[in-house]
Amino acid sequence: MSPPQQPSSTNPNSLKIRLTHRFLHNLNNLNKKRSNLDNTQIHQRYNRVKLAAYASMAHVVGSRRAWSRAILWKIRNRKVSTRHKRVDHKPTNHHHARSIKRRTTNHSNPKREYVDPNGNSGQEVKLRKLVPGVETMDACGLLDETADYIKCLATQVEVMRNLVDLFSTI
Amino acid sequence: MYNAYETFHNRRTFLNTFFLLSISIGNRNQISKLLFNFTILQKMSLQDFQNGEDFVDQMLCGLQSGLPWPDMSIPTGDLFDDQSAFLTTKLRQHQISAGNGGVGILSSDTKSLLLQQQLLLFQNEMVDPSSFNSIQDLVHGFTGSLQSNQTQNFQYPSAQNFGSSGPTTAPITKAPTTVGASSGGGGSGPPAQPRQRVRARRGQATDPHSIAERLRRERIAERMKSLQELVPNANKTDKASMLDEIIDYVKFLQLQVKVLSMSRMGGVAAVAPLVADISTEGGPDGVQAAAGGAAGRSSNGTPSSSTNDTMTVAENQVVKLMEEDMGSAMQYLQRKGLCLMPISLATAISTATATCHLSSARNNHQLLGGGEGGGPSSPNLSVPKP
Repeated sequence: MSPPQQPSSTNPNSLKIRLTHRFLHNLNNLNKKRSNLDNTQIHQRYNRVKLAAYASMAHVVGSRRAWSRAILWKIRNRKVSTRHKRVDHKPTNHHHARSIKRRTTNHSNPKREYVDPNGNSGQEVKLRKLVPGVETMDACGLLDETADYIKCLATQVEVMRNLVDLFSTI
Repeated sequence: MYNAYETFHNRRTFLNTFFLLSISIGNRNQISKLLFNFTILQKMSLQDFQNGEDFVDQMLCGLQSGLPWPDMSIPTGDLFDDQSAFLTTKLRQHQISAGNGGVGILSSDTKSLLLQQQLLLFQNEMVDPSSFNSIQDLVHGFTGSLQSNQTQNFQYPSAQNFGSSGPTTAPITKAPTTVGASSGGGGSGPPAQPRQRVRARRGQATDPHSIAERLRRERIAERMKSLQELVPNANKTDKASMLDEIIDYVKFLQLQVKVLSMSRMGGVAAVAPLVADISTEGGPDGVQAAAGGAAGRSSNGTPSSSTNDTMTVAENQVVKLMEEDMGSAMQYLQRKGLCLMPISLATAISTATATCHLSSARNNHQLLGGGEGGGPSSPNLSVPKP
């Protein structure tokens, strides 16, 4: 049995344990925050759960990886922009918040042609779109990040599947 | 080119054809540049200084067009850096002086410099083995002719320089064997082959670019291998198909997260405070208290019309699943009087009971089944045995 707390290792078992803890914690938080407002809307609920999943994944990995940093940053910006939205309901501020969000989330060039001036193939560009935070990395680092991302995604999916299986009949 | 050498007896016409040839090939090819400079040297040797202006003009334009050469020759291998740097500086000095002076200052020094530099570069370059032999013969022919001509015009300094250039031609004879043995072109094999001095230098010195390229490619291949183990479909036929597999797998995983977050999110979200409290408190005492509290707290969205017992069972189940496989979880269930059954049976049971909660469960089961796609049909936890 692997010890539960090994912050530096990505041993699959310990990763699973930490992910589970963190995921449930995040779900709990999300539900507590907006418990009464949008509970009936399925779409928003689903978005929140998805967000909790990615957030937990990113938190467990921490700042070690570029993709986790990118996710955490996106979440933070999202929170900031929604807070702006809530505080002032003026359209100007709304636009301002949206522009902040757009400007900060797309810090690399938003338009990506299929063949970069570096001569990247279309595949690499696709991969960069899928994995968050690898926009400005070279091919070597890109593959490294992709491997880590795949590992974490796979464990996250497993955790979620187990949870859903558990609670589905209850 | 070899035929031209044989057919043309007169050196001058021969040189002119070479000159024209090299110009036509242009500066792209290394061979053409070599030819170009050799022709210049030949011209230097053959023509007397009596021809004056046109000769000087030819030499000047020849040298200027040969300017990119010294720049290229600088990043050569370690062993010959000093020599090439020295040669380039001397050449530049002479070029400047020639440019300024305009008189026939194109002396034997520049000629020797040019020749030595060419030989150095020649040795440092990766030439195709097919053209190499012909070039080598040409080199022999040229050096032989140069030596013979040099003795006519510039005796003392040339003898020194071509004496030194003599042994430098010797490695060239050895080189074709190694080039023939190994594959020509950049980056063949590890750079540290102690077989030939030329060989090692060639491997290191091809460009720092090609060494960096090789390292980069090796690193990328390593990463691809590690990725290949992660991605389930691992038939690395080539890099492109592997990349496609990786992309598809990432998309698939993200889709799974989406689907799983859609299905039963109400249930999971409702039960989550319960389990979260347990995980924070981390003791069996907290289990009972939290279960009681959460059951009281649970909102109308909970699919669980459950008692505290099943809650504790679920909690323990979560802990078990975290620690071990599903197999041990199943064993635990069986010990507790629960059984596992496939999804279809569970849906059948749920339809039989026909409450609205269970009908929603069925929908989500179906969604799960669809979302998981090609994976094995996951055994589903059943309702507690009566």
